[in-house]
Amino acid sequence: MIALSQVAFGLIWLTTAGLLIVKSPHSAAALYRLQAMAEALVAAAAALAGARPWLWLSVVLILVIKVAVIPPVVMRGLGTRRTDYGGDGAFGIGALLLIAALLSVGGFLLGRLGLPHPALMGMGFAALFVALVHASSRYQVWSMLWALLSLDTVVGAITLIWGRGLPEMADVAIDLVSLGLALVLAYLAQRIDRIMHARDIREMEDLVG
Amino acid sequence: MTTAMWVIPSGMAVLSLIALLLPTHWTHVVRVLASLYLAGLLATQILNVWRPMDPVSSWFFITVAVLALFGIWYSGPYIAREAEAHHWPASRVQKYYAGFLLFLASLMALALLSNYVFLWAAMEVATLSSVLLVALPDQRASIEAAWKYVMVTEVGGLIALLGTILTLHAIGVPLMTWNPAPKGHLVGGMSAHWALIGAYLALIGYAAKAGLAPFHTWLPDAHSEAPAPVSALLSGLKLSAAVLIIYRLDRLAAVAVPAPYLRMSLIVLGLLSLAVAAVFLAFQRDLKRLWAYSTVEHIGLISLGVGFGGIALVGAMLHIWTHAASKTLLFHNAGTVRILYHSSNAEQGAGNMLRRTPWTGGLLALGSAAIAGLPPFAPFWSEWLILAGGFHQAADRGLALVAALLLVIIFIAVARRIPSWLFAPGQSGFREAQPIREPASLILPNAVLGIVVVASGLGLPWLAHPLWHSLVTELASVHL
Repeated sequence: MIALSQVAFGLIWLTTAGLLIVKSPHSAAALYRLQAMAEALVAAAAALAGARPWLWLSVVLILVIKVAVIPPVVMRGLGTRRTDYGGDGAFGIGALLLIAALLSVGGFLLGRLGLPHPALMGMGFAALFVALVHASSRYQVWSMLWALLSLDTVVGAITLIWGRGLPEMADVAIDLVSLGLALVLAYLAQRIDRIMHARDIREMEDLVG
Repeated sequence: MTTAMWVIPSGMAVLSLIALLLPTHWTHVVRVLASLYLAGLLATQILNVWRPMDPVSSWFFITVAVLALFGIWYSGPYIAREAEAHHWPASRVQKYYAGFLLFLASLMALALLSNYVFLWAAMEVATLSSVLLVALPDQRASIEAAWKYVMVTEVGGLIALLGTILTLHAIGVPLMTWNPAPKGHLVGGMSAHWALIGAYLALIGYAAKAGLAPFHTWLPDAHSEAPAPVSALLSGLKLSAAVLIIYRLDRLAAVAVPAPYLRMSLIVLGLLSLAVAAVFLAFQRDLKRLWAYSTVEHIGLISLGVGFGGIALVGAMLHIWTHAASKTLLFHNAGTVRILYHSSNAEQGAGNMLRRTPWTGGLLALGSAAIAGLPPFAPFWSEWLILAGGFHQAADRGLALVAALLLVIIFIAVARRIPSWLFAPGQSGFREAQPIREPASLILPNAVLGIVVVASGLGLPWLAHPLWHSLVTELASVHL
């Protein structure tokens, strides 16, 4: 089962890095789906390991909420920005890839500092760092939105490994929070599109901090 | 009883759902039901029918319930006028009450629940419901504020979840334990440094939720754009709840990691927040933004009190109430100013208040004196306890001195800014001197709250004697 989890975490790390550099919301939605399926695979691996059979409920919830519900809801919220194309950010895409690679190496090493399942945790930390860079380095509203949802999935997967004592109610609560977050983000993205006509955060300067 | 506490916030969540489903003209009935529910909970707690898990929970729950009552009361006239002035559709008013009651339910859960994963979930519900409430006016500025709010605090929230689970896992506490301070130990195979990393991650995540500097960037925008009753509860209650979670988690982690690291982090974040407030308060021209930066200051003070420990910790708990009561008065007052003057900016006509709107101006003067820490108002006593706690320990004296100096600068900044609303003439000619009619429905909730603020300064330890006594007994010797 460890091998299955490693494959799943590897997929999470790759899709997180993919979400960092994609230039269209449609590609982002596809990668997010793949990332969510990998999270479901982590839950399934933990359920198969026998420790928590109720994790099958989590598998179903992740597939329903993150694979079936969130992507279409978010794409609908993006409105006219669904067809946007571009990679505007604090750095170019090449530089982002380099930063992601360096942080990933850091993540892999961090996982080896005394945690159980060092390879899994290393990939988890690598994905976490890449998602954090994503949330702070891209300017387009759609990209920031997927960055937050990507971070949510990465944290959810790590929680599944560490949270061995979590009963189903807590897992359900965490999944429902993911759904709530996606709904709020989709609503705000829709209002940004309709009221502010902004495609990236540099066009949102009504408030001076 | 502890595991059944979820029933209490669930009652308010059900009322939120009812507010969403019933026709709009029934919202006043839902308001009355919610008020009766809160009053009943307060009465039954005073009569010892039920008890939260510890004095800190009791203290915070009473603070939530009392100020939520004022929030619901003030929401009635305030939202009616906002809706009329900005042509809100009826459904938006309905959404406001549904969101507001859900926000209240999450605050009650934050006071009563004792499991860290469900506390995190309650904090998330509080964040997401308040994000929607910030965006509710549906204007460019409110949407922008809501976006900043959700992006910064949700990254924090996810980091907090990770930190919480790592800490609990590292010190061997069952994740489903319904006890805020079970005895932990390091589980085999994990080192103390992972418990410390977890505690730091949780600290950073919840500090973002609390608006502690340097994670405060979302706070002034969200507070200034939210409807006034939401700003009040955000500032007074939700942010304090995040610091309370940090306190509980750090107390738990202190069994496995060097506690000085955790307490020093809280002190540094507290001082940084005071410094940010000291720099920015002097330049604010909008009343709500002024009180938003003041919130950064007061959350910093609560963080300092938790970090100093002992009598300062008692001061921090007292400050949660004193700050929340005073700030609720001030944000409600700022809402009244926006309605009466169509702005809360001193340079856009919101001036000369003592003459034009004597009740509103008078309550602004009263609240400002309280929040600036003038005796005999309650914040003076809580700030005094926090600083006294710092000076009491030789190692913290220098830090307490820095905090005291920053508080003096902040006092000067507030004292310098407030007269521009109270006395200074505005820009638009002779109309500036003409009185504005102050509707009793807007003034009365704030006037009663003003009395509560004064009374709590003069006699809180007597008014809340048994609870205050148990709080002091439990916390006066606690150091992280």
